Amino acid sequence: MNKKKKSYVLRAELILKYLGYSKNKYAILGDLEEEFNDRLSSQGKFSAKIWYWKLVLISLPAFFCDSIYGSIVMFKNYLKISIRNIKRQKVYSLINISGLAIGFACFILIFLFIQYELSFDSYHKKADRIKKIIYKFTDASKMGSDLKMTVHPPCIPALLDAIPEIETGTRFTRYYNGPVEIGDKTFHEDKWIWADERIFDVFTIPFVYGSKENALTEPYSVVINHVTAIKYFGDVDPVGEKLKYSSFSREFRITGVIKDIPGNSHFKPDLIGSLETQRNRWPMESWDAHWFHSYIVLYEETDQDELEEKIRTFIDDHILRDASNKSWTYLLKPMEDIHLRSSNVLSTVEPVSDIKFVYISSVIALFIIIIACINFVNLSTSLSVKRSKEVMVRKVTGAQRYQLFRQFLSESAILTIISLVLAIFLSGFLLESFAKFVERDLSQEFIDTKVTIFVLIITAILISIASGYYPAFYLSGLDPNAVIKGKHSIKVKGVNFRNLLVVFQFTISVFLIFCTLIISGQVDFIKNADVGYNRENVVVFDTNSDILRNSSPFRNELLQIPGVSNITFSLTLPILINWDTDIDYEGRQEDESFNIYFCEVDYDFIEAYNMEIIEGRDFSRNFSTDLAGGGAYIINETAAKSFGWSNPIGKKIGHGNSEKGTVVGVVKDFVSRSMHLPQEPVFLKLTLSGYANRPRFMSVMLNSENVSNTIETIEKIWVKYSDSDFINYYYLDDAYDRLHRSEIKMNKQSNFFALLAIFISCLGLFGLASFTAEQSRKEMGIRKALGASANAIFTLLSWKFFKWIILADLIALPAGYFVMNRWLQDFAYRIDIEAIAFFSAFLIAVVISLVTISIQTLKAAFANPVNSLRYE
Amino acid sequence: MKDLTLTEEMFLLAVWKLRDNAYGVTIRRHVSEVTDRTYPYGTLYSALDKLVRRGFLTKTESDPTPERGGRSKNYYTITADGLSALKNALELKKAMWGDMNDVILDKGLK
Repeated sequence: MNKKKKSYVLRAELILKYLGYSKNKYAILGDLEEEFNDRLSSQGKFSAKIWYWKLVLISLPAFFCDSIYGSIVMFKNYLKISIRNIKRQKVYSLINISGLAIGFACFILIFLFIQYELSFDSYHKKADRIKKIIYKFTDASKMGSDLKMTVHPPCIPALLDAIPEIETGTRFTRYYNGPVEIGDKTFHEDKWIWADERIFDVFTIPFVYGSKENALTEPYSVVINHVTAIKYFGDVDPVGEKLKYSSFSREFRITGVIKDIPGNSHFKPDLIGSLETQRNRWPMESWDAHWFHSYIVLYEETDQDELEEKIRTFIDDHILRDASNKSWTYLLKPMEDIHLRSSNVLSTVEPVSDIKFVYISSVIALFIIIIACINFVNLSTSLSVKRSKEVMVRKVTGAQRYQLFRQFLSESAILTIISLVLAIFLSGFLLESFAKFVERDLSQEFIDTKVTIFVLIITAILISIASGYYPAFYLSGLDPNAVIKGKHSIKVKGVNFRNLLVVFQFTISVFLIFCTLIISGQVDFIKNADVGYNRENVVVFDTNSDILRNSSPFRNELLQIPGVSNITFSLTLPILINWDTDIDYEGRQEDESFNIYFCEVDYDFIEAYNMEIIEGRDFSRNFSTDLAGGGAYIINETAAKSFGWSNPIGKKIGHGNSEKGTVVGVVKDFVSRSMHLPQEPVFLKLTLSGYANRPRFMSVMLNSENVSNTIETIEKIWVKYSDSDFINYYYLDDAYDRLHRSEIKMNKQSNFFALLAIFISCLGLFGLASFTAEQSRKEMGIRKALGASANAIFTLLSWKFFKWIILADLIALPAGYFVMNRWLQDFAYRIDIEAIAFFSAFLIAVVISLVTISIQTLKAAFANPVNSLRYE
Repeated sequence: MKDLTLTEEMFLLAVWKLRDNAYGVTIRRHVSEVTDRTYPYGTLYSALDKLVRRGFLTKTESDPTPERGGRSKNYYTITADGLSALKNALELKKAMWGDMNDVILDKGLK
């Protein structure tokens, strides 16, 4: 009992000793023990012990400050010595400091990115009370996900009327694009939304000019953001000015200018038109279609789950009773979750991210900082071993152990601080390109400076302690007599530990290399995959009503251009067929509802896109029946399969209220959404553009030569047919890439991180190799003197590291396989992981590490033994 | 001369109050009881050291005692300078508070 008690008194004593606190040491330890004994008898052993350590712990900061107070004089000396050391070991210091600085800089940037991602939508005053209403298919859905961001237009007014727990609510539509005309200038805008007047009550969107009162109550009112206002009118108050939008004949009046919505928002419109404008054009009272983004604000004390239940009951009792489609309901989603926790919901306003990426980024940031720290600790330790003589001289002249301890700690602190300062500059320098890289607007305003600084300081302190710990502890404890006489060779303990660190670093590097190989393989696959139609040299034009009315002569005239090989009009492009409808088909069960994607097309669609008809025929001008009655349909293989048709030609289908039409052909399955989603049933319906009441795209297939001339000619012909000379076009390939943006982005990022990890690990390996070479100089000298060849020495030294690299490979590759296999499961269309990927990752790691080691091992192998042995 | 901080004032008063029995444990206990806050030894001793340096306290080491694991105590006594510093502090407070008292304060709080 007595002995045990002694032991923690001893430990407390040790702590004080290493803090260099000596003045009142005995008094304090005595005080502590006296109170401890008091408590031991009154409160029992356990709580006495807790009390003891708690008191020691909370005393530490004061002890620490006190001990620093007395050592400023010595600190000057430490500073001088550290700077001399940095100068003497230029290469190592450079590697050391730059490695840590780069690691730190990456850490800072990623940390900023994470903060940014987590800050989404939190700036609204009512942020925590705003919920988005989400549409849920209750029937088995055929659409990839059963959740959708958009709900019915009358939803918000109905809920506001019926449910008193809702403070207010608003709704707006997705982005529209179209030309905006101001006087004789035309601008293309693609972020126009229609919203009701309560949008400014729900969201916190401050006004620059005008005010939120009555901004959107009148029809033909529009509120624009500041950037757009400056673009149109310069830096003046534009309230009251007029603008023309799209095909509206009446002009819109600008009623206000809002501050630009920050980048960390899930919707960022440039122009907000009043929904009132559309009151008589749109079926605002209809519960058939769902296409409005709708939000409600709860009162403070309202419980979300209870309210959700109440809304559902209301929908069941009042709406679904009379509705034709009964297989849906509503859910509530907190607005702050939209950016990171709604990747399973279709139809988001802006592309959303996933909390997964935040976790991955955090892990990467942590890895980078750990790797960088390990290197730093490793190299500093290696370097300090050379300084045993300095330490011994200090000891002989009377340095206390705690002073040495402090010396090494302050030295590592100096290096850490230099790196940290460099890192801050570096990250500031790189912020802009990093922001582009992650496609976020990482400006200063949302950064929580306090947290950032706090985290950096804590990390810096930890690194200083970790890197100064070994020399401080070990070297200060050696016997000066033995060392100075040269009897004591400095053996570095923990070689195994260090090798373990190398294994750890290389495991991460190999893992990242492997992932990069697989990811870029998959991205290549996506880019070059045979999607079932022709994607190359296709230019897509947005059309307007003039063009559509004259589509036939317009098309014929364009076909005369030598650079144009084919032209077709369609509702959507084959890369993303995202209109869906209820369908009635032969053999359907009475109560079954079947949702299917569709695309309205012209003649030539299949031919122009070079799709393959596997059964039946293409739409043809030779069959007048293709346009008569219910018209003609072409379905894809999956649709035929889902309908349960073995012989689909001639079967009847109908959608909406129209007459039933006939299936004339089956097209081979093509990738009609993204590579993530499995093949879904799709039908194509022949609908001539001139009669279409929906928007259309015009796809122009070009010959590869002289593309810019061809487009110029198309523009010339365009203005002959259309009043508006506004033309917007893009390559189909680019649109396709945009669909797979997150993979392409991930590819870029993984490339970058793999490179970074390799670079930092090589720094570490280089440090360790040079250290080992230095340590075994004499051994190698003797070997050489006894007849070993340079070759043998090179092999011997290299093998020492090599086995660890191989071990790292053995750990990393299976892990990589596991993780990448999971990742690939997200794609309906994917590559297989092949042996070559393992082999390449292995080879890359081996070659890079070999080169790194060689710099040192070759030097050791070719060194003249005389140099290393002559002082013995 | 620099004025006493509130903490210093408290420690000086505690040492004066404890007379012959003013050492680490008792001072800490006394101050903690009065203020209802925990004072770690680190804070305590750095404040006491500072007071010693400024000449307000003197420190004597006692003989080691067994209940303290064979370690000595630091006894503190207040000096004439210390007392005059306390007097200054008191006068400063009196001048500052003037006619203010708890009755007025309570009234104001209502």
